[in-house]
Amino acid sequence: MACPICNSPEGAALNEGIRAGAGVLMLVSALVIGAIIRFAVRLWREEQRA
Amino acid sequence: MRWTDHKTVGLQYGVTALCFLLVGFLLMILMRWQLAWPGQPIPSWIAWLLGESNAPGGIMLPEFYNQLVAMHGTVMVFLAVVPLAAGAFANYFVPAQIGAPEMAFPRLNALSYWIYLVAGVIMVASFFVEGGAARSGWTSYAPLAVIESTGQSFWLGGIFLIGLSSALNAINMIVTIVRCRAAGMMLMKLPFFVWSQLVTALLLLLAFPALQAAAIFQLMDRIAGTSFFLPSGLVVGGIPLQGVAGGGNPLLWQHLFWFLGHPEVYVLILPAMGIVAEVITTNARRPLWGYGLMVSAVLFMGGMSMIVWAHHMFLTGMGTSLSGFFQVTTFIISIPSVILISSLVLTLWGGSITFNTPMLFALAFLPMFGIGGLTGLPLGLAASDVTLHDTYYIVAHFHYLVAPGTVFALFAGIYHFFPAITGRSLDETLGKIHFWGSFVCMNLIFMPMFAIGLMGVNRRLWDAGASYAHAQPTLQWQTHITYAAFALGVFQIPFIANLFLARTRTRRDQGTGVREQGDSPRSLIPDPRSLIQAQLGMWLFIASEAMLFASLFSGYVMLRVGSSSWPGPIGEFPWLETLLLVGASAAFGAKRSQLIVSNALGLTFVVIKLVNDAALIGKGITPSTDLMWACWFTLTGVHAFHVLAGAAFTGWLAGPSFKMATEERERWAARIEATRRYWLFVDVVWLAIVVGFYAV
Repeated sequence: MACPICNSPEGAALNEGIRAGAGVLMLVSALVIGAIIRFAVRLWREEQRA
Repeated sequence: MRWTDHKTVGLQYGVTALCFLLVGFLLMILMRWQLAWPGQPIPSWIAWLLGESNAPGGIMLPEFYNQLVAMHGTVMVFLAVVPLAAGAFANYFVPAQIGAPEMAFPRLNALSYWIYLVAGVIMVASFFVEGGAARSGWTSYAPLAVIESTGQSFWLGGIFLIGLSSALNAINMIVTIVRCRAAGMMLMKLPFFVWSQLVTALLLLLAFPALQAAAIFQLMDRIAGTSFFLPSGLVVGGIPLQGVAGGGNPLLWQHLFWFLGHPEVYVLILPAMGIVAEVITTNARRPLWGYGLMVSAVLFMGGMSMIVWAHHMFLTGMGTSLSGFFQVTTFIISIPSVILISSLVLTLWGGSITFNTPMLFALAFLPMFGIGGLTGLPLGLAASDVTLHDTYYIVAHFHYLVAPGTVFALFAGIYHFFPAITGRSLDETLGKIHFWGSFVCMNLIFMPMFAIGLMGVNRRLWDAGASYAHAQPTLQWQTHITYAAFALGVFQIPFIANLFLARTRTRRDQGTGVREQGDSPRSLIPDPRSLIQAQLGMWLFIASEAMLFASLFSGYVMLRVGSSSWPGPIGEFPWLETLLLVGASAAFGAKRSQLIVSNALGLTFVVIKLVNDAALIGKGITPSTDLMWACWFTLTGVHAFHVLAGAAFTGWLAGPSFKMATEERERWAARIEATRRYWLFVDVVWLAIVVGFYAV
């Protein structure tokens, strides 16, 4: 996809880079938050059983 | 008094943060003077204090004004409001509210305060270095910040330390709330204040590493000559920037900064909500309306706040798909905010309300936060944000959230909890003078800024727009705002006097419900040997470090994918280092011999890394050669530092700490288990790095 502002190939590459970099950050965040949610659910179940 | 006592640490945070609040306020007064009377001399005694280099002939230089702007925001956010909300109140009251006699890791708790203090001193001391303090705004946007004077390096160092302090505080808070509750204190019985502090701690833990990673990149740009944030062909003052490889991306800074920056907004707001909930329920004599709904809302808000960051960057031309995503998430996050405010208002319904000083501040928080929140909606839409971005409208919007918003909640908390802390009450008359004066002045300061912003006046002009035709009608408002700011300062005098006069009042030793300073019974301190406590602490630390490396790695991916001419390949696969590192974690165990082998392998890894780096530098390959090597040296350098820390700790376990293996077996097992996980983590990070550089 070309850059929405300048339509240049360099701009398009930059745009791809930003999407990929932000994607990595979001992916790892999702994994870490997922792990925390899993821990919270286990904690919740432990409490309900106790 | 014990330095590790949670109440001591809470008070230390509180007093220090209030001092920084005063520093931030004084910086604001200087800014306001300049904006009201640009180009005119400031009073001679103030000019003498600022010095000829900052205000020659008493006329403030634009460079110094920029320092005031950057440091006002930095001091207020990182050194005053967050430490007061998430450091002082949390440390003092969370253990008491959950029935824990102490924090989970008291020594780490004390350490977090001292690191915060050192960071604050470094930042404020930067005013006295050559070129003055940081002057690229509290956001320190690149590439401007990269080419700034030495003060910017102080800012970056300070920010890194604040991140470290926040992580230690957050780990402590989460483990304390999750594992140190009194019997019967179920999760859904926790006071809302505790829930707000729990989510705040999670946000600090997971979001701050992104700014630490950004600070590492920027320090590398400034010190090692890399160009993470410096694009090719950069021209400074009409002269092309020499001596840098270029090819970097300034937007990388913005993404990493706002990945922290937006959750930081909720770090400012959520503790305030918790305090207001305490004050309102007490003074309305009503339980919290919709407790379960509020807990769900605060959890949802915390999670969502991690995926809204780029709404601060609509002007960067991020493309419709990313822009659309962040617009949608931004509007979704407004829903829990409305739930929280509505629940607090509904709590008042049918209550028997006492309008004392803390209640007045808490009640004022509701509409002030409401104004701040509602005026944020146009900024969440890319179309309207384009017009409003970087105008005074933004200043008004976020100050309504933080100044008459969070700061009012903090005042409510101070008035509300002061008797519980000191056994003495604060004077109501002085308190009400403080409240009404502050309430009126805050609105006189910030409400006109909405209009000034809507008229298109940029917020960064040192002369308030005196040189622009469209700003002319707003100049007299700037003068009025400055008078209101002075009056706001005057109305803080009753508050300060109230704190000191309280010493003259009779101490009420009964009915405070909170133990006296330092009297935590030692026998009740939660067992620090608990395996599960140490394990959870280490998991949280690993989560935080995972976010640090993810941020560094996302920078690498952003630059690599975004480059049309990425150099490569990087060389031969580092088998030896990989084997050494995997060996270090495989050898790790509870026996002394295992610890020594693990320590030796870890140290050898670091030595080999240093030798290899020296060989590369000898061949003329340095971090400044190109972006690929910049990424390699930075990522592997940060990783090597982690290996060194792991090896040092393992060596300590094998040496001075080994007697614990026989004397305190449970505590020893907890340390071994936690350290084993750390070694596995550094293995995984190394494998991710080498795969990222060699296999992809």
